[in-house]
Amino acid sequence: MRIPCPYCGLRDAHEFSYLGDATVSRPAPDMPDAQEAFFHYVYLRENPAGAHEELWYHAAGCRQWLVVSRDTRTHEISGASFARAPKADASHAEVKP
Amino acid sequence: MSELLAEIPASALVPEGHYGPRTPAPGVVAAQLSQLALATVAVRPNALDLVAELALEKLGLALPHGPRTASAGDLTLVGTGPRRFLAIGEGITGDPLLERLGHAFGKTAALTDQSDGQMVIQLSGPRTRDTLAKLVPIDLDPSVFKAGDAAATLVALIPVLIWQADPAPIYRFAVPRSFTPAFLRALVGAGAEFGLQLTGTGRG
Ligand SMILES: [Zn+2]
Repeated sequence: MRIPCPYCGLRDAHEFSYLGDATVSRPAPDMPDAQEAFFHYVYLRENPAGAHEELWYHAAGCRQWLVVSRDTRTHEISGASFARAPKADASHAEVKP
Repeated sequence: MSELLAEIPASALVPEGHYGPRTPAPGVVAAQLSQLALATVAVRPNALDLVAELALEKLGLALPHGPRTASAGDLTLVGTGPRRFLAIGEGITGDPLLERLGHAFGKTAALTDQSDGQMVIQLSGPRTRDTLAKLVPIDLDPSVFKAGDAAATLVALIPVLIWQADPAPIYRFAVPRSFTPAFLRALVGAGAEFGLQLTGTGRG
């Protein structure tokens, strides 16, 4: 299986380590139902037969986290992007040579 | 040759010399390059455009876009990841390299001296690609990997940065220093059948 890293190009899956589901997001801890929400966030996962989004870390390459779209039945990969989108340009003003 | 490699301490570099059959000219020439200074350049978020301007203005080089190299005089930058570069200065040591980069980039990038952290191995000779076909998991065919291209990848499970320095071809590898003995063992094992000449490692 090869993963199309947006920085490095097409690379063997052995260069990556796998984290899992990229569709869950951390709930706010001050919500009234936080305990229930965190239970779902930490423990419960869908197990789709088909298209899925997963986190892969390119440890042996550019050392970036990627979100990879993979078909769990065929291992066909339809795309990959950086998990960390470039942040809004808030700190630019502070960066001076 | 496996007997020789069995006798060298696992922590020692492979001694310089000729490995494999004696041919009129070696198929592969491998050299550990000394008198190089290395530093990582980590550009602060949102400062890439500014650093590109500063590189052009103060160092006279176009910041590489993606996994590629750019050189100006004795200074080379290799793209290692988004907003990450390895700087290589020839004929100088770490302190003056950091001074030069710091003068150019100021607070737009974090600099770390890697002169003690990595060794640089250069490969040339007519059978270089045949040797690397056994070691490097990416395609080095000149149709897809050309002079000026770079890649962070694995060789014998060792994380390396490879870049092509010349179409001849000449390839260079930055290898973590403590892994270089194992890297050289894999290299000599792969290249010996073509006749491999190793220099720059002294008596190992
Ligand atoms: Zn990558």
